[in-house]
Amino acid sequence: MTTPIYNSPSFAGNVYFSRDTFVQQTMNEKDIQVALLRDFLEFFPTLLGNTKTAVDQLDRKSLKHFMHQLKASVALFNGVPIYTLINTLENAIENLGDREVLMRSHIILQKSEALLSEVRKFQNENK
Amino acid sequence: MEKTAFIVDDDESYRQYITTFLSHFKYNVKGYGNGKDCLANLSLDPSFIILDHNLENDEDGLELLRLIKTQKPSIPIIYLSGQQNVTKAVQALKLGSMEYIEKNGGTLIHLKSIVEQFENKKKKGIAGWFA
Repeated sequence: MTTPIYNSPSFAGNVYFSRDTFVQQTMNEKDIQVALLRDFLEFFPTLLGNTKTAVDQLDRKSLKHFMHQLKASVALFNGVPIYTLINTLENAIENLGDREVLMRSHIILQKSEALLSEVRKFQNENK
Repeated sequence: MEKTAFIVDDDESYRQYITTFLSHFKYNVKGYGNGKDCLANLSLDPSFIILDHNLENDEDGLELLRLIKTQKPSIPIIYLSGQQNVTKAVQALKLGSMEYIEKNGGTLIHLKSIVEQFENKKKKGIAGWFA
């Protein structure tokens, strides 16, 4: 089991992005890391935007679809708390009231934005 | 000879992650969002296909798995799902999938290990042929 280096100077304040897991998943290969970070930063903002639109329109079908994709991207960067939140929402979305869906979605979006910032910071520090 | 692999997934970002990852292992990766495009390109004889459960237009990955196995039974399939669903995993394995991977924090490590096992088996197969 890996322990995220939250207390290392470069990653102080990281809550959602685990550098250790990312490094392990990418076999500490710098070129894979650089390419995956580039891919994530290219696609994730659009995915977040699509999810936000689905939330704003309270379109449950689209919301489930984009949350599912968000979960997969988040998982690659070890956003474990976000992954768990999305999983719970995905499984319960048909049985939750509108207010509950909105509240949970907003929390997920907020945390996903934070993950995005942490990944951006990591990329900048490792250029 | 160039190695080709397919990733079939309705999620464009995930197709890109897998393409990037497998390119590192010298695979020429073709990404498709739906079954039609995948089936139309089976003649490229991919070394394996990574197939997600969710495809475009609500298409079901299990149905595509069945069709691939009908047309090209020898192509190994690695079934991918974002859901912790044992039933789907069992169904995929019964339909001839070689492996089942869940999209989570360990997906790339799992995929790497499967690809390595697969390549080792192929190497051993060739060695056995000349023994």
